Amino acid sequence: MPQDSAISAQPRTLPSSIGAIRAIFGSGAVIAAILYLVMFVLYLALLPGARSYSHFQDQLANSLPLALAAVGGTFVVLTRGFDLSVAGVVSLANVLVATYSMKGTTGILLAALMVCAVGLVVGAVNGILIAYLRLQPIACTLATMIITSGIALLIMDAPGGNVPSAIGNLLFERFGPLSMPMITVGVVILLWAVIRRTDWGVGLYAVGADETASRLAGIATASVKVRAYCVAGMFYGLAGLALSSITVSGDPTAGNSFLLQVFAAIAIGGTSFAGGRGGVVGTILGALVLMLVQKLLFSLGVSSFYTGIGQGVLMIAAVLVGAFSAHIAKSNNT
Amino acid sequence: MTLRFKSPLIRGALAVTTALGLLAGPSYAQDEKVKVYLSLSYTGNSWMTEAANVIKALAKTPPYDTQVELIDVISGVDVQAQISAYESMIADGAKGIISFPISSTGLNRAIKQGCEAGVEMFMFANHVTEPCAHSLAYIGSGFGENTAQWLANEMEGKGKIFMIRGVPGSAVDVRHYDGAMSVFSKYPEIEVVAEYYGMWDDQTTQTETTKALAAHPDVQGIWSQAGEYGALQALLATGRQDLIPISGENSAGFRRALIDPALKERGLTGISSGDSPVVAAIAFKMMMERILTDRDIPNHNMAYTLPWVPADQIVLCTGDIIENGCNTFPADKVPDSFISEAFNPAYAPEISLSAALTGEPTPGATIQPLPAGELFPEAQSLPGINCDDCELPADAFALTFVKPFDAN
Repeated sequence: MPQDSAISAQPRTLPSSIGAIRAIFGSGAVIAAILYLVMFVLYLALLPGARSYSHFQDQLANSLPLALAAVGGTFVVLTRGFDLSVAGVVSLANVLVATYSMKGTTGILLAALMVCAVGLVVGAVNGILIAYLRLQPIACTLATMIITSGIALLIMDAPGGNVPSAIGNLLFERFGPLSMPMITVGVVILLWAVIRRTDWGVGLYAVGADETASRLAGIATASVKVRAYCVAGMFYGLAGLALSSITVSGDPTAGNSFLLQVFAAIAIGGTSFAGGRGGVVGTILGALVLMLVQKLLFSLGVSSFYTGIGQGVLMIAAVLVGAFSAHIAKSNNT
Repeated sequence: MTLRFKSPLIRGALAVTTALGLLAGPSYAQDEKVKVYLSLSYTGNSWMTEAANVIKALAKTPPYDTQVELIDVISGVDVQAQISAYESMIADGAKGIISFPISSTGLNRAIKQGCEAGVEMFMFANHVTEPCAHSLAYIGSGFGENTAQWLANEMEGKGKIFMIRGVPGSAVDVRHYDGAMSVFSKYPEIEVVAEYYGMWDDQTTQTETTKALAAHPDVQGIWSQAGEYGALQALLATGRQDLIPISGENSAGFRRALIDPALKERGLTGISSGDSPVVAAIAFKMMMERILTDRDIPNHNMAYTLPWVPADQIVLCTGDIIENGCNTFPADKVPDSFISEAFNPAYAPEISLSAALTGEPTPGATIQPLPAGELFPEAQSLPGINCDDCELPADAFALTFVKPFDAN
């Protein structure tokens, strides 16, 4: 089983340099990283005013909610699942934080617990319906998305509410040269490095690559999937918390814009919707790329009407490169 | 793993781009025009198109055509995208940002950043809770309660009505709805038989109204936010002879229907009120006067007077400008969806029909300074819309345009 996961991020030791290049381009994370760097350099070249560290930090903070939500989605997509509930959970977490948060550091912790709990419950419902009752992921998670969006509107029928200043400043805290978004991303990547070495982490790839074979090999596929949806839900909740920190208010429809962007970030990051390939690092970079597209188009003086087109084209390009390299790598190995 | 070689590359990138920037430097200095940005969140409906057009027309009207460089950016309905747009504009050295804010609260950090960088932040058609911004809107000007009272008067306090709301989750929709309910709740014999969201859009409103009419063909009045022309179309499509009073906003189709003798004969009456895209033009002129002449504008949340045109005051314009009390245009000049209230001769005489339709300046027009003195009164406190930790005034829903039919 572990071989499947190895395709994604750990380059195999191929003898020739061509093999090495193929291995690199076969990894979505590297493609997304290159894409991001090229775009970033171009952006700075075009917009001299953006060459400040604090502007870069703002940009990171702005990308964090999408990055967290997309990381959550990656767990599900790796198992060949699909999760639309992200839109509802982000909205729900956002209005909960804007309605029920307390002041101070304990307020932050309680808010984080609250959004994780909500995400966990929704994720568990998704996971149980999909893994044990064998319902279709799209139908199930569409339902939970509609339900959670509805609850969000019940809690808050219009944008408003107040996010305590401790949470509002959360993403903008600096620790020397480091900022909260950087630390968060670092922690997520560390966690991921640990997770993918656990049985569950290996199981995610195995189930996504071939569920029947995994079951026959003795993997508790249902439990792997349920846990994927649960962890995904918690990340959606944290994305909602991060969003609350940026917008300092609640909006019952805040999560809607995440729905498609999450999948776009996952695709650009090189995670395959067919399951079993990809990873969290690529997804984070994918989210950064997506958020940078609008900045880049701005600096190019292109109307924002084209943002969607730019993001779509990038997505196709990233998926194409990924698929092409994977294809070559595969045919070479046999 | 990939992140590890990111930071040296970024450093390299910074060096390269700094060099590029030095080469490109002098071309910026030659530009004498002040750079201002128009930041829209969404577009595609008549209202927003007209609002953008009147601003673009003003920026091309002398002497602004040589004084200002206007760049428009449409960022979509996502708060973060507009935050990102504001940040880029500030980084690009904007002197002013004129904007329709997608959220009253979510953009505060970026707005404050702009104010601190010396950028004039002007919002139209919606307020924001960040006090450093200026905004001009009609949200607190009484649309909901006044139109509802008008409808209640027409129906003499009894009958079945539809309530057509705007976009769910919008603070503006909630303020209008609460205002309307403050009136309807006083009349126990007025029964709201259907309440639905028309999304401030004629097509959606028409579809939803058709459904509501199928269930309640005996409806006796319609209270509508923008999209009223769609409601009227749905009503006409049923083929019924007897029409009913409709309170709605400012579409040309609606206004023309209200003075159509055949429809009037069948009982159609209405009130045309609601948001005016000309607030965009006026806010833009305020911002330009701040930038160019440092005009003091003490009120930050300014209330625009509610447009209020009962059916018997609707007059078709014969030319391309608003004159002789006319307030909408014939069908060969503007489509049904055109928002009639795109003009204000006192504050924005530069705006003609062609300016609103195409964004091109009115031939021969020059920028006229705004009137002296306090321009617009401070808007009422609208919690979550223009202030935090505040309360809606006790008399927030006081009627200003109509009196209850049953008042003594």
